[in-house]
Amino acid sequence: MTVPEPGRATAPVWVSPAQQDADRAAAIADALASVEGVAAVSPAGAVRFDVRVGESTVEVHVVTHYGPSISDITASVATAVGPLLDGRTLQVVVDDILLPGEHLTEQVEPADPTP
Amino acid sequence: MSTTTTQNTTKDDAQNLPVPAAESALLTTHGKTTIADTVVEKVAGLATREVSGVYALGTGVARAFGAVRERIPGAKTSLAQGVSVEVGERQAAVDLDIVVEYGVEIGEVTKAVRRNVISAIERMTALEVTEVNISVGDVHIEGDSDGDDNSGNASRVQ
Repeated sequence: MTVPEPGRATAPVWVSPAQQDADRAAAIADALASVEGVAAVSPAGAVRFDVRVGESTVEVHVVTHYGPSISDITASVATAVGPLLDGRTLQVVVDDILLPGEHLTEQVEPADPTP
Repeated sequence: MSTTTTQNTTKDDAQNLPVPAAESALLTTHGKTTIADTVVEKVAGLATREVSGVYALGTGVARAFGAVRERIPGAKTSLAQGVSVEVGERQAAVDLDIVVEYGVEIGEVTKAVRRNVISAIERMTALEVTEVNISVGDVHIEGDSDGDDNSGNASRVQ
């Protein structure tokens, strides 16, 4: 790897749109981890947040804990991931709810966000 | 012999019900929140079981399958048993199959169930509950155990 000379302009690193979306999804998943009241879920059952970045929307699938209002939780989600949306519309899909004493061990079927 | 009573009451007909949740809670200018049927079913199931006088949820077949499932190590009672829902963007409708305890006033129990279910769903999900249809499929009599296989063979004399 060559080190550019000081003061000399370098070409910006090109990142494919797919890679940008993947990076954005990973950043959003990290932001979701800090939101209280939500748990991670993905169709494969792995413990990670299912984040789908589209051209105009960002769809996040979460599992919430029983008790708090879901609208309050989604408001917290919107606050946490808002700066990462880059103008896209956020769509939160609550796939399941964890009752007291219940743990996220089973595979959760993602809900269809379309009405 | 089982007793069946079906009550269909729309929210407009019911008395002392909570005020409908704000219609814009799930649809905001910043995006939309979609709630899966499973979520509403669990909340409705839990709210129903909280009411005194409710013995179980589910039809006879569903309870029989549930009893078998409970015997499987690691399995647990499904809170969605006896609950079916229809969930839209802003509203939800709930159908319940319940078994009540013998001696309770069924009308009072169903009224309490309806109030508790509507309150729980609207508080937690912000969905407006349009109707809660309750079917009372059986009455549980103390000592009348469906799962006791030996009940019919027990000797009445020594």
